[in-house]
Amino acid sequence: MTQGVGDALVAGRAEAPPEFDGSVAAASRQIVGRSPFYLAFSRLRRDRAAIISFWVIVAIVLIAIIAPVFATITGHGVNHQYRGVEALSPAGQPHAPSSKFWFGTDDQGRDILVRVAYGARISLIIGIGATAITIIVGVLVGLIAGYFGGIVDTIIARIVDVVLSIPYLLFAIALVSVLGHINLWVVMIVIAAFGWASVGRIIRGQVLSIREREYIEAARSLGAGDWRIIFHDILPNVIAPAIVFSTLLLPVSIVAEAALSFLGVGVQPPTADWGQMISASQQYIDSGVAWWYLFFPGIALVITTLAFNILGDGVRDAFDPRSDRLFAK
Amino acid sequence: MSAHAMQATTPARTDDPDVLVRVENVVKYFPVQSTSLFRTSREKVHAVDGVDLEIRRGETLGLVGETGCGKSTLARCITRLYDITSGRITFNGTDISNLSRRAMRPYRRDVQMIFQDPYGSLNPRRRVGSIIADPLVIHGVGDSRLERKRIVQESMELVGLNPEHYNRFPAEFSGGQRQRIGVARALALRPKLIVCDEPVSALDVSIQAQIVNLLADLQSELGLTYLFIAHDLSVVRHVSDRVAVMYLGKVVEIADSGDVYNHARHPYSRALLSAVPLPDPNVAKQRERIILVGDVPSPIDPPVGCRFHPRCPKAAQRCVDEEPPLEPRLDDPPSHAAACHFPVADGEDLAAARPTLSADERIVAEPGALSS
Amino acid sequence: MPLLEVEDLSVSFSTPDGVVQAVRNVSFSVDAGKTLGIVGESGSGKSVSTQTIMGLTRGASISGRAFFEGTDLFSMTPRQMQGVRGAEIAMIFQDPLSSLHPYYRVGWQIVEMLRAHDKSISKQAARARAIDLLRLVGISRPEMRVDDFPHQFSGGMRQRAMIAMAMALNPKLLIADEPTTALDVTVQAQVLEVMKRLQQEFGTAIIMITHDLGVIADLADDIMVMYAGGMAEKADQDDLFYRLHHPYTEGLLQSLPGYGDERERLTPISGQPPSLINLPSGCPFHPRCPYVMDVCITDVPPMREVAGGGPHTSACWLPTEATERAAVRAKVQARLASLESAEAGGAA
Repeated sequence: MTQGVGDALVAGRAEAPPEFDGSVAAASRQIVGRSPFYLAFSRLRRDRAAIISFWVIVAIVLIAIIAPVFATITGHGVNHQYRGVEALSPAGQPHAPSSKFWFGTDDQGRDILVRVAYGARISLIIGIGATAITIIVGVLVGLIAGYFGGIVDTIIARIVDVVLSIPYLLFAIALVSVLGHINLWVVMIVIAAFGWASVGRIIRGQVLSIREREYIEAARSLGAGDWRIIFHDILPNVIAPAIVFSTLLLPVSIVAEAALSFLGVGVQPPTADWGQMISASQQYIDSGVAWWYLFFPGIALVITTLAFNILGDGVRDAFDPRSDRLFAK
Repeated sequence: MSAHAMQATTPARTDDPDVLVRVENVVKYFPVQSTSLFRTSREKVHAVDGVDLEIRRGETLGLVGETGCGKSTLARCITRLYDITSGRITFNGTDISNLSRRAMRPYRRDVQMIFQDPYGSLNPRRRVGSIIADPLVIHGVGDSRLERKRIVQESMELVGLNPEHYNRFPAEFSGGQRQRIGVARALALRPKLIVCDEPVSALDVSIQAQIVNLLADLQSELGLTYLFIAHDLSVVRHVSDRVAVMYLGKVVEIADSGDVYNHARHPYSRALLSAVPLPDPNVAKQRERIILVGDVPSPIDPPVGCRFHPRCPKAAQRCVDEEPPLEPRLDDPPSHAAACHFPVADGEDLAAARPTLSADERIVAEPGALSS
Repeated sequence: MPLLEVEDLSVSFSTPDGVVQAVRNVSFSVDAGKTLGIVGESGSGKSVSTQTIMGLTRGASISGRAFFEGTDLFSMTPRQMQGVRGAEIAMIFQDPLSSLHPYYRVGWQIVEMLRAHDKSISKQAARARAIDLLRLVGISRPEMRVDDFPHQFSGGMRQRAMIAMAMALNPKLLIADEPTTALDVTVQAQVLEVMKRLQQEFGTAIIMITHDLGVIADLADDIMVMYAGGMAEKADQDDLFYRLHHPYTEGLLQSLPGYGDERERLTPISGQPPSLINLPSGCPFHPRCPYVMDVCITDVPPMREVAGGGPHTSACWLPTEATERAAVRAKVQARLASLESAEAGGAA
């Protein structure tokens, strides 16, 4: 029984190197892993709905990218108006889906299939672009307001209040008309102009609590200046909520873009755009004559928005795994 | 005795080479958040209310006290994380009390802090190597990334961490290891003074000992000076050369480590010592038990005269009328000072003492009247 | 018959990372009017054990039995458990600020509790009892304090209010989970005094869960040391402190600064507590044990009787006879000392 006592001492030392523990080299609460993003990512991978949505989005992006291929395959240009009887009825009404025009034609004889494909480009570009601008501006504003506090915070807070109380759509229309010539950038900026305020507010709230953490105090005691602290210490902690926010903002931006073009103040014809198509299809709804004109762009918009929404939920859950916590003691 | 008193209260020369930090009559008040509509509130939290201290080169000065005594605030005043309301702080001969952020920068290389919470004092979104390299980057030490990496890995080895774990995140380390990371970060620039704010309180008992040993080893290897703040008296006794006891913003007793524990003069020190649970049942049964009445009063409205008088077993009228100065009492050497009119003698049974003040004569704000 | 008898309790949780064995085959008992101390560090399973007994762990797989006055608590319906909780077995936690509802007055919370268990009691009578209880735990001017909100109480007062609430129905057993860990030392002394006095007056049995061996030395009659979810050692107070057996207990005591010589180097326990998902083979303490033998790595030691003194068991392969064990200890200490001096010599 006493044989071997002391002989099996680790490396023969009374005090083994503190790292050694003979088992998984981590406390009972953790498994050796990598960055918090890696952990979030692996959680996301387990979310079925999110994965399906992800692939749907990939498909939509692909469609947008290869939109010209649709034109080539069908042989129909995106803005080309066809006059033949397969495209337009003698009375000038849109033609139902047929072997020549899979999604039918619109009131100008254009191929709806091709236009829906090209419309994906607009929605995605503007959706992603507007979201990016919104997040960047919102995060910057939130960081500055939250960190510096005082008069800076008060001024920014008042601006945010004003922006949030403006009736968005009315102002968007007014803004667009002021700016005159409408192109992609104008639309993106208009959408971002109203979105940054909510982001800013949320980020500011996060910064307020992060600012009180001990590691910020530690950074100060090391002699770090304000800007270094903001970008090196606070920003990394704010990126996660920013990412979650952007996945939730994307569908909002897409719908916002569609709404603007629906009202005629977005991307201008003849550029193919879902909102526009939906708008133009209105006149044919009551008579029930051309359901496909509303249906296809409409369903495209719904699917896209839904996919982004579901993915956004999944991302948010992946970053906030409260349900995974267990009792450690 | 009066000769001793005079000796202790005469300030030493400001250029005394042995003294690394001198704290003179430092006061720190925080304004109270007003709950009324009118923003101006006259009330202040008297976090630190006139403290004189010296920290000598190479020593470990322990700072002990309970919640609300001001020890953490004092620590942050010394490291200039807070601006002081009044008083003077001298570091290495230079008055740093009112230096601007910019001017303080070079001194930050010499004064570093280790924090209490191993989970909160490290940025969870940054890699450990980057965290430890922070002071190097901020102060421009190391010419290249490679050079800095070398210094960081050296520091990691010094504190007992595996240098290969340079790229890991704090969440992948245990509490004790994280505290080591905090120590490595504090050491990166080889400072003169390290202020340890409860460095082991949040750790498991078996890990505490590892960190305490580490700090002791580093002190002798690198010639460091420590200000060691804790509420755990046994740990403080173990690491400190001298110990200062704080109560409600003031130092009530200061002495060599052995003197504080064996010859405590201030009744609060005695009560504190008797309250520490000892892991030895026979000793625990036999020793003096002084149970204080009431709770710590609010630092917004501290008691008049001696701040401890409302809870002191020896309180008398003089304690209300006159605040006792911090000076040697009875026959103690100049190194042992206490702020008490009726210091406790060796062998005196404090548990049997009864105050000569009635409850109404004690002037104190209602504890808990304002949220603590 | 003991008041509470727990047999072979095991609790595990499944998590995405694996199955966490929070408690492994733990058995203990508490006699009426006595205090059992459960000692352990984080991850030892001490809190989970008692929470499971109270039925407070959700989503866990539980096996074993917990007999309270002869009835198995685990066979009770949730309704029956509700009747037991509070009235027979009460629990207080570490952080009274999160156990007391911040929006309701303290007195009201006690009154609600009293009336929840006994519908017949009138509001006035309940209020009077609440005031009595606050007085009992040493809160001054209880007739005024009874209408305060929790945030108006200091930490020590809140904890005492918690104790008052726990004692309201005169339970036979009080489970205190780290009740004083977050409190200042002088306040801790006050709270422990209150608990001791209440035990004397009402004969309540107490289970005191803590990591502080000093508190244990003050309060506990019998002690169970837990490590990594399992039992390490069980003994009465005298045996545990003066005739300890398990190397983990030894390590815990030795790593305390109050224990040995003043300025000597502390003797910590090397390494870290193990992961509860991937426990080491054999004895879970073996990677950190200075006395480790080959058998420790392969076989899990059962609780074996340690000779001498009162009922004393320890989960360790070291010899149970005191003299044999002392010889082993001496041999290991000598070996360690020679290694250290060789190192010091080599380093210099």
